[in-house]
Amino acid sequence: MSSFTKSAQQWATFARSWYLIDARMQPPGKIATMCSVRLQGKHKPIYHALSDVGDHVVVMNTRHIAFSGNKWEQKVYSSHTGYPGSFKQVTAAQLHHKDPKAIVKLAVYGMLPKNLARRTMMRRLHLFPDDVLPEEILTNLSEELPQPRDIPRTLSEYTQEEMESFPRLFTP
Amino acid sequence: MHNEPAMDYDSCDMRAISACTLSIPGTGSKQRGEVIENQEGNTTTIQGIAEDICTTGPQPPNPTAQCPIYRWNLQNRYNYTDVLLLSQFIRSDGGMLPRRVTGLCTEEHKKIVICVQMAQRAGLLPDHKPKLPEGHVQKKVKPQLNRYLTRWSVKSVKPIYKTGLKWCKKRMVVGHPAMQNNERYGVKPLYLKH
Repeated sequence: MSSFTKSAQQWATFARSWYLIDARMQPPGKIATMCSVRLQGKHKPIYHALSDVGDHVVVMNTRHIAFSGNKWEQKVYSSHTGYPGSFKQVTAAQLHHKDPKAIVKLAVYGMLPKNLARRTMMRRLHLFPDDVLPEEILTNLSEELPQPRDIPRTLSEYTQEEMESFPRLFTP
Repeated sequence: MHNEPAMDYDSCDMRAISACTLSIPGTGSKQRGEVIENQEGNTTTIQGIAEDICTTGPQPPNPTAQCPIYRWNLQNRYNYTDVLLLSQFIRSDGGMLPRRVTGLCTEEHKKIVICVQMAQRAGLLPDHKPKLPEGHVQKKVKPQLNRYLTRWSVKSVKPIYKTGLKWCKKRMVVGHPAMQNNERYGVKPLYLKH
């Protein structure tokens, strides 16, 4: 844009911004795709894989993640340390109970490109199980991203007028 | 047309024994019939009162259909999130009303059952839970895990320890195939096997 100084234009294009995502009642896979896109820098027109243009992403409320289907019981996370007899398989529910950040972390880790830059991108991902964020991160945040899934309303969230104005389908 | 109640000598005051709503065919009007029992000393008076109900409010766009969902043209248009619709077919403890009471046809009754189950597992019907006996203390604290579109009940599912190779993968199912015919405004098909 012609109205900005060259230095301001340079700052605006190459600055590393901080994004906030609220993961309450959201599927962790969709949160992870949004995170991986911004950690790589693929949302910027100046993207190049070697240029390290990724941004910081802060995910809060990872404890209140929602899996679709029966994935809490069916999805299994496996690990092996390399020693014989140390193959561990843990369901998503058990892993979440042990560490509420692990599911989102593993999801994002699997979605990033499998190269040496992955570890630096994971260092720029900040996960918090609840919505309590430390001061330093709160001051850095620039934008909150919209949630990928619309949260449905429970019956108690509807007002009395809405419940009355809904027509009765049958009379007993 | 009014029910004959059994004689009850316990109370000395006015009590409504039974009530029913009847629609008079031909005229299209509705009457609410109540049977009230009045006991004064030795005499018991049983009265049957019929009141006219004025059915104002929205009328079904297709009144000639048998099933209430077809009467309101809601077939293939509802989901587990439409709690206002689903709550009309359940009792206060979460159980379904029988088909002979609701008047639903077989397929729609099954679809409503499936949607109600998914809504209960998602926690969208918090007040329609079975009443626990008084003084019941839960020993184990159940983990509060958010979920949606759960097809199977939580206790019945086993973990998939070996998912298999790409050509024979054991998929984790989401949603229910009964919702396959629902109206979709996008191009993407319903994604059931994750």
